[in-house]
Amino acid sequence: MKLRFLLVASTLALALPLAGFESAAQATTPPLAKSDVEEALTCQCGCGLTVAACNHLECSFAIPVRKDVDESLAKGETGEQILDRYKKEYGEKVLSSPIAEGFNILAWVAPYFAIFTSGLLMFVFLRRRAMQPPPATGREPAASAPTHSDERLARLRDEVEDMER
Amino acid sequence: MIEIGNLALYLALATCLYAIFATVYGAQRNNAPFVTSGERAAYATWGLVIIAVGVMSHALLTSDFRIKYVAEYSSTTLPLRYKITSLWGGMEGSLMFWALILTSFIALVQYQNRNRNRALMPYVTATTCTVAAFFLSLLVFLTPPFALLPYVPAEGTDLNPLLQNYWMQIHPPSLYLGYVSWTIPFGFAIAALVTGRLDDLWIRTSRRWCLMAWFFLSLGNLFGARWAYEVLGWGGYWAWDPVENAAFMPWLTGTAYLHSVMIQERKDMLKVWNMSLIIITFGLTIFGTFLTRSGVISSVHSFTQSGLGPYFLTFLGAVLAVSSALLVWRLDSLRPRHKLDSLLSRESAFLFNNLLLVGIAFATLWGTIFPVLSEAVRGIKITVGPPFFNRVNAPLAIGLLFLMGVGPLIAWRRSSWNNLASVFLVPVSFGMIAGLVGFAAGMRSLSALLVVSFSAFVLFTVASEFHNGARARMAMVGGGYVNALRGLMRKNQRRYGGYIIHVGIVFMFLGVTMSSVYRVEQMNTVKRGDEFTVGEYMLRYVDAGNSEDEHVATLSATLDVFVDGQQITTLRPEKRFYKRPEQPATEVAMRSTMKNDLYVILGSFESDGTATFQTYVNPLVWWLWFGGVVLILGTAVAAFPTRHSIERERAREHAAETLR
Repeated sequence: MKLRFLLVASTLALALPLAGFESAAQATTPPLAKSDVEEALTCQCGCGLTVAACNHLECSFAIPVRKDVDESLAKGETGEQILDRYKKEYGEKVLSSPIAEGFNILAWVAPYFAIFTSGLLMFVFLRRRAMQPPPATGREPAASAPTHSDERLARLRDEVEDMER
Repeated sequence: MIEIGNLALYLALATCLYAIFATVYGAQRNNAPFVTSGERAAYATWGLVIIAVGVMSHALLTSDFRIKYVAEYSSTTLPLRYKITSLWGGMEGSLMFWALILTSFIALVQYQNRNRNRALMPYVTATTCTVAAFFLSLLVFLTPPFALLPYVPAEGTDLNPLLQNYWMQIHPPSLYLGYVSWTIPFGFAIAALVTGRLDDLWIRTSRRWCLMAWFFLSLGNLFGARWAYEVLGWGGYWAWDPVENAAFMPWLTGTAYLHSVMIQERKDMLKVWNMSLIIITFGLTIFGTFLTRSGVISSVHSFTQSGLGPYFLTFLGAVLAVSSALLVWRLDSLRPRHKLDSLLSRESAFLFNNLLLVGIAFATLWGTIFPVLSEAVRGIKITVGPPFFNRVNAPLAIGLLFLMGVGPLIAWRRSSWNNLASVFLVPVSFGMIAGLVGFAAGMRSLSALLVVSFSAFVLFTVASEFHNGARARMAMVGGGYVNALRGLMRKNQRRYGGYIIHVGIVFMFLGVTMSSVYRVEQMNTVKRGDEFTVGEYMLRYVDAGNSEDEHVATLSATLDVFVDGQQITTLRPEKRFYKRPEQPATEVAMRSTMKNDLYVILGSFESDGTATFQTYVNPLVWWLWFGGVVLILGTAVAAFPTRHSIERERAREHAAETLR
């Protein structure tokens, strides 16, 4: 139990401080910077890229939009207001991601719903299988807590077996 | 000549249809001569497609503009190498090229199995020839490649300038080889379902084909990314374009299959899942072709849009319906013979790896088709672009990276929390230290820090596997460490080749993450002699010049590049103006190092010598391409037939035949 805790704690220890650093870094950044707004708009020149990525240096859409975003932010307009303005002018297609409302929520939710549902089902399936008593073969680890050297021996046996496969 | 090409295609379709009929009829009636004649018909189909492709190649090389395809995709001034590649530059040519690869593979698989797997082979031939017949039908009835123009133009329209690039010479063939190769494992899977021979024979026989398909699909994706990086000139290499997604999805499901099939081989489990993965992967290759050809979803890569979409969709529907029906029919025979021993086992790790791989494939498919769904339901056009795919897929991909390190640490069959803690402690600590070093170096992005930590974790576990394996082998057979390592890889190519591939994938993860998160970009309009700084580089605009030939006019700028006051290189970005079709294109100038790429695009040029440059500094992107090289090496180790692997395979086949 103590070791299980150690394992989980060390894995969390790997991720949590990093998450903290990220939050700290984000706290000093405005909600929608120029690059965020440009990334949230799709170029309408036909390149299929975002305004931020459009490679046409004489692009009739991306260049004026970049300039407008720059000027509008300087005037105090928020990123959200700029995006809303472009949405009203060009329709939803100008946004590079679906807005998370109405039918579009499906776009965001469906992949994670599918993965979590499948993951849950898989977990239940694996757990049920694991609850069944293991077949009694000589290769199984002992019922009592195996030692590190048991594990190493088992791994070595696996190595040998693998080589013959 | 043109008549010979047309006739060859008609005859190829006829022999292909006969091959399907004869092999199925012969197998059903136990009539061996019929099966043999069907197989010979498949060889004949291959020969006839070669003739048709030969005629088209000759027409392209001799600029025979009577043929509409040649006039549209070639010209007299087109360099020879592009005349050759224009075979797959347009739709009719690419379909013919697809048919050539497929019929070649059918011939090869028949030759390989001429004296073995005789129960499966008639149905393998019938299934693969059905796919070939579909492509040949398109060529014969809907998009005849040898269609003639009502007049003979003096000059051709030429190949799209974006396709006139080295990477475009090798990207489509690699991608097609990857797509088409999946037809063979699919053929074996269907044959196993039809005949009821559902042991792992079909898996073992199609193993190298799967690996080859996966390998070429990997290369196709990488070459395509490199082409986008060099030619499209936006500083990136992957834009989550529908056509890019189309090539990525079968790669994901194929990768899932290559992992889950190991559980079937070891435990005789997941038979339905593996069969489903092969069917889905093959279905996705057809779906990818549908996306490229149909124009249903707009894409910058759809160079060959047509009205073939409905036919591809119908074929895909038929493939999925028939395959699913066969799967349901054989469901009872596909039940696992063994059970999973423990939740804490490598088998479980593989299953979660499958969940994430298929999850990413589903998220990508969902994002790709969602604009069509939205328009159908709400009547409103929306865009699902890179921000959506990055946000949805990045956490899943990072989870996958973590599992790449977990897999080798957990024993097959059963492990325990106690043992896990002891085997995880050092690699996890190593990963943590790498993350902390990254943070100390100034990295503040969570995704970047996680990727660095998990990459270090995976590299450590892979290195441990090699080290422990070598020590185990030294203990078994004696000898030195290097010999033990060599023997280890020779004795278990697939396992250690797989680990090398994992190392390549880790490098790719690092390259993609760092170049996405820490890219620096800048636009500068400067006069001759002016200097500007981007990242660590100082660039001096020296001069501009132009050149012209009958094919293209080129405008180039010369920039001296300095780091810490020392000149390190000279870059010459170009702007090209192709004459047929009249189209401008950028030629990026790059200085690539392991640390970063300096990437310069010449935007505009004024008569007074003023020029505008778009400059990027892309960190660690070199590692993305190097990861590809490591992946090639790993695949070679995993798949290269050695004396030992051939003998082992023969012994297994002999044992399987004896048992049967």
